Amino acid sequence: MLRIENLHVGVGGKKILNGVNLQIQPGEVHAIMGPNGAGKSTLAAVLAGRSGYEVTQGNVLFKGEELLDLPPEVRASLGIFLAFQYPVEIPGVTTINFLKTALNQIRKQRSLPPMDAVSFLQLLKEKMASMGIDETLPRRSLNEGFSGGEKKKNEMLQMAMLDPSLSILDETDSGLDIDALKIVAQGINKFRSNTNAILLITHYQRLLDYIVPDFIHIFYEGKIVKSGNKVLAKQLEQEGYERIIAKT
Amino acid sequence: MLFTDWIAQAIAILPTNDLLYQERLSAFKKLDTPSFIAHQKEYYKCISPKDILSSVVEQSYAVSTSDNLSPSTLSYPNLVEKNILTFINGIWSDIDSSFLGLNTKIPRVSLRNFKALSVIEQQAVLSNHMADLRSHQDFFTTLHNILVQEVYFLEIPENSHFPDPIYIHHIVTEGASYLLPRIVIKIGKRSKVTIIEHWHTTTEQVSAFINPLNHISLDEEVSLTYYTLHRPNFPCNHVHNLYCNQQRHSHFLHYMFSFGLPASRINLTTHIQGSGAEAHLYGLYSLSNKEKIDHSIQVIHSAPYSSSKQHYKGILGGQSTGGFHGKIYLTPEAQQTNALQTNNIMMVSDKAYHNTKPQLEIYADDVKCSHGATVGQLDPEQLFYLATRGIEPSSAKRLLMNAFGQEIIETIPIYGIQEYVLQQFENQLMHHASEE
Repeated sequence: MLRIENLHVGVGGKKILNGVNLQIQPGEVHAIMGPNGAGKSTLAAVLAGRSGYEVTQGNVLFKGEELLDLPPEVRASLGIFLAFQYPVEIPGVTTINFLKTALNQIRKQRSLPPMDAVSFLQLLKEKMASMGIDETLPRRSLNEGFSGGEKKKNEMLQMAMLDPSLSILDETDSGLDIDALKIVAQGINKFRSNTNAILLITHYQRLLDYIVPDFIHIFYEGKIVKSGNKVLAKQLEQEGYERIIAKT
Repeated sequence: MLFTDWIAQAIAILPTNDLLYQERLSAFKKLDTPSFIAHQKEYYKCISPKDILSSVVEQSYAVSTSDNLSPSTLSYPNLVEKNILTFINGIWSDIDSSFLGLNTKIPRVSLRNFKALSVIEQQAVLSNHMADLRSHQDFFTTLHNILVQEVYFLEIPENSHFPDPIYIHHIVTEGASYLLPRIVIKIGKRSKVTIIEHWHTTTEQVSAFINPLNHISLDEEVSLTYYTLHRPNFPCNHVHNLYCNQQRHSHFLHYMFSFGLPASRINLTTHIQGSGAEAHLYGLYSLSNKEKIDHSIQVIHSAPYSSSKQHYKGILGGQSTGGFHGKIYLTPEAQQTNALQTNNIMMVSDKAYHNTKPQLEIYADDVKCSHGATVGQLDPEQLFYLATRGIEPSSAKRLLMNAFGQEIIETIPIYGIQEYVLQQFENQLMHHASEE
């Protein structure tokens, strides 16, 4: 589904990614872990299509297409979803209106007819219930005045509604208390299927207590320095980044 | 034609035997004063009177005449079914069935031509409702005082509560060149009224210059909501003058929406003369191409314990030009005033221009007055967030501009008007979203 080959990226002349290689197949959950400043969020941003990054080498194929040539909205309609570490507040745009616009634009790009109001509301209600989201949330301005937990739950709600094939979750666990973390993790586990894939980006191991990834990659100085399975996360928890990185 | 020749010729054809003649002459003397003209530069930063009048003075001044229209040519927004007052080229018309002669069918409301009033009534209207216009320092108000055409006196007695709005329907036809209608509105104590002033043209080719002046007096405890609306793609240049006097505990709520008028200017003054009175003035404008708009909004407080709020928002695209000059004036009597003014602008083009000038003149010492002005662009973070959800840039821009305007639109108390305004606003946003 996704193939990243020797990806080098800089910002304003400063190199941030130094040759990332990663392959993700449908049904897989990958976790990228690493210390602050390793370039994890940059990788997420480059995959989602944020401007301001210079790709100096390498390429990214998504479902056989050159991803880096496409604008963010086309990537979204191809099935890429980025859950933001800091979801953006948009006063005056209600969450429900935003979700409906997004869903129907993606359906349009995929040559599907717009979803009728009844089916949309039904789908929304169902997804909200599974995420334990307050029913007043859709009427509120998007992310405006939301608590940290509400913002992250709202990101997961969007993921569930838009049904992407590759979800990149950038530090979705940050700013969540343990109860909210459990709910968010449940939502992710429910969403997980053998046709979609998830890329978790996290600083802490604690999210992986609830979501068991198929692969764990240690990210350091702009590239993956070590890959393994869930055992690696435990090892990391005990030894810390420095010792693991020193061993590589 | 030079403006001076044009106006001299205009005065020559005006009637000299009515009570308005003295008003015309004193206004003309004022206009003829160099210091008065020099003073205007300060207040017409965005569109000069010369710009507005350049095409007007090309043809000789002629008094507007009504036109025969069949009722089937009229279209109303769905919200209006009754209480309709129709004016064709500024002249009252019985085209609409709401009226029989000049006796309105709206119970308790009377609309009379100034000419039909007795001399004593005329004098009362002049001294009670037009005297404050004499001292007005604005160019177009003064010009209106010189050239005023038909004057109507709309009276709503005490304790009138209308569930439906009174709809002042102005229709401009291709025969019109320069319109100066005036409606003097007097609302009696404790009445609760909504007025919609709605401007239409018969075609999009109408090129008249429109310079109406409405004068409103709100007696004690009156609540008035007043809307100034235009049909979509209104083709005429428009200088809109509205003057309101407010007595004790009166409440004045005004909305002005301007979407895509070629050139317009709003002169709005409300004078709070009684304690406990409130004024809320809202405006939303959106310009593209080379359109121009200018606001001169004045709130005068000369009584204690009153409050006012001005909130105007604008979106400027293309090579458009906008201006906002908002003034809060407090006399020494206006203690305990709470006055607020906000102007927020969103620029969606590099070639657009906006000038904002807040002006606070405060001669009372125990008051709360504030003003705020912001100029911004579409937020790239918000645009990116929307794009990652599959929303195309043009839709994302529309969504954000819509949200910007919603803050004003959602305060409209009547749902039907909200819908009407929103639809016009959204159509206007299509222009912006397609611009780069």
